[in-house]
Amino acid sequence: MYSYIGKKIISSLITLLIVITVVFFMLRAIPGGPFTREKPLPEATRERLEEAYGLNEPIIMQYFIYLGNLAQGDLGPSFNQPAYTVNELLIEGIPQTAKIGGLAVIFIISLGIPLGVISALKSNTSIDYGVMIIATLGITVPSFVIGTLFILAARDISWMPVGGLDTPVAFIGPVVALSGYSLSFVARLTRSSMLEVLRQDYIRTARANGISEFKVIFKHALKNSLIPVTTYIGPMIAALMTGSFVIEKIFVINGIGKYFTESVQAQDYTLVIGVTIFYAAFYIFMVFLVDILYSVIDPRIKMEG
Amino acid sequence: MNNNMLEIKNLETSFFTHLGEVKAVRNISYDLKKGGILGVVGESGSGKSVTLLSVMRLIEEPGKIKNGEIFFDGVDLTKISDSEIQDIRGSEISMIFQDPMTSINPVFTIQNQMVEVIRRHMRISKELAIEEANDINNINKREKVLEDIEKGLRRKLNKQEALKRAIDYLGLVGIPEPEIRIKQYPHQFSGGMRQRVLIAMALSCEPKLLIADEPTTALDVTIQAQILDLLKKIQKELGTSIVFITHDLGVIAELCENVVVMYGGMVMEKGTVNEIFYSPQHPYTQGLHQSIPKNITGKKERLIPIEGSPPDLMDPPKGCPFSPRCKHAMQICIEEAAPLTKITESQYSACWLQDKNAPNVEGFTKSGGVK
Repeated sequence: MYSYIGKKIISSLITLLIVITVVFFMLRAIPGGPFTREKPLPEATRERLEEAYGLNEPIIMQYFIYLGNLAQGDLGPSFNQPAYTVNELLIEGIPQTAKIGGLAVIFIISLGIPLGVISALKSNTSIDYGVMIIATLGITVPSFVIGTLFILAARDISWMPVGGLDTPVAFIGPVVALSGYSLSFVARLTRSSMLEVLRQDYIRTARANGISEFKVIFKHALKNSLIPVTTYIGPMIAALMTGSFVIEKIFVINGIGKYFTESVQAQDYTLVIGVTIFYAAFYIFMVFLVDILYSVIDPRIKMEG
Repeated sequence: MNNNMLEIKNLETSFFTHLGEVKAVRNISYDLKKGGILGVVGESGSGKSVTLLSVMRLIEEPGKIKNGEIFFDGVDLTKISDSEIQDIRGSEISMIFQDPMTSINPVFTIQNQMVEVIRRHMRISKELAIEEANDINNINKREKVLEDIEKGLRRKLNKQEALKRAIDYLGLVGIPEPEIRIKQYPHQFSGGMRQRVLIAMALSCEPKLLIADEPTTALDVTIQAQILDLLKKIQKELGTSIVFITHDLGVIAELCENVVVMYGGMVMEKGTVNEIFYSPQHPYTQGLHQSIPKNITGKKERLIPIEGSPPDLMDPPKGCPFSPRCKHAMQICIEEAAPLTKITESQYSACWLQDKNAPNVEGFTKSGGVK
């Protein structure tokens, strides 16, 4: 168990280093730079800016300087928003994004799994068809359409704000729009997994032993049917918690999803790498968590390096 | 009352698929006396499992018991409510299944699953209940508890008591070191051991009837013999009545006292094991015997297969289901199924050759008959 976790941490750090290296060099391979403007800056100004940010050094030197700073927890200054460091921008943006993402995760799990179970138990009835039609819509209608519908509705409903996160009501729009796809996916996945498990021999054994239908479903069947759902939920949490540019743009939320897209457009080297590191680290952590969860749910999966 | 543990009367079970009605069980009657072992033999699709799943009321959608009565210890199981049959399953009637590898829930320990079943059904013994009641100081309360005990109301086993019982039963079915093994998960057991666990689980609430649906089919031969010995021991020591479903005549000879031979959703012949083996009266039973190798000493012998294939239960033959494959088939066999005709006190056969108007054929006893 401990050696497994140790090995996992080392391999995670190596993965992270590879991500940083690839992103660092690829960013610099893109023509132009953070100070490229439509109307070029005077030569002298550009040179002084590059000197100030250390961009005049050879690229390989810049790489090692960056790694050195990173080891001390310093992600460097933002090139595009000179008043802030990348650390400051992330600290400001992550909570906004995480609030929406966290609520979406809770919303998806607490609604998606029960809907899937109900659908499976009532399979091929009107309830099942109803849930599955909505779930199919949720998967096929893109989040920006759902988001835009909320904005449209907000125009006519006085208590619903158009954007921002100032009141609790303001969360409804972004959370629902962000959850749509994953919620539908979790419901469908739970349904098919549950139907599969209910056909298993051990369910018949439980019934043959007089176990009540409630326990057959919520004890014997549910735990088994959550194994594939867990696989999906881990990376899903990572994706939701790291934000969606579309949602943040529509609902005017200053989260990191927005920073990320804008920083790529502006070739803001340090901010791009900063956000990427956060994404990658969080994703790796969630996958690791799913691995541990697996062995909790399914004893056949052992944690061995 | 009467001496029968289980009486199945005119049972009909069908599956209503979108292609049509599949008549899996067509008017079946047989019974099992208390403490006996009954073998039900037949090929795949003969309705042997469906009959006993009907007894357990475990027929799943789109299946339905269409007609008939199933008396268990005098109670008609087809008439009682869902919650009543749930109370009977696992406590009065238990069932074990064909594939032990997939029949235990893989994500819970053996302990978890056995304790669950025991605590679902078992009450503490009367002696212990009285002993506990006598420890109550408040006299009024004590009187009330003793009254309840007289009425048969006793508390459930607690977790420790249930665990002890589970360990005892694992020991009984021959699992070494049961107190350690019970903490393990199903994947840590071999196939034979898992079948033992399932038998222990099925017996843990002292059922009067155990239904074993091909419990040895998925196991290798040496393990098969061990499981059969175990079932024999259980029947002898605990007095449990057993219905044993199989397609293996060898297993029947080994274990059973009475045999029911099924084909195409109907009973072809029933009788004691000696009658079925030494004087089979139905052409299907005779065909089964001829298709089994008897001589294992190396001398060459020719097996006689039964030509043709089992009937389509979506559209079964109008007459005897075996008639298309029967070498003795007559016109009447195609038109009408033969009734079960009494040959001896215990043997019945459903063949027109038993009728008094039938031609004399060697190997068939004519017995009065109905026409």
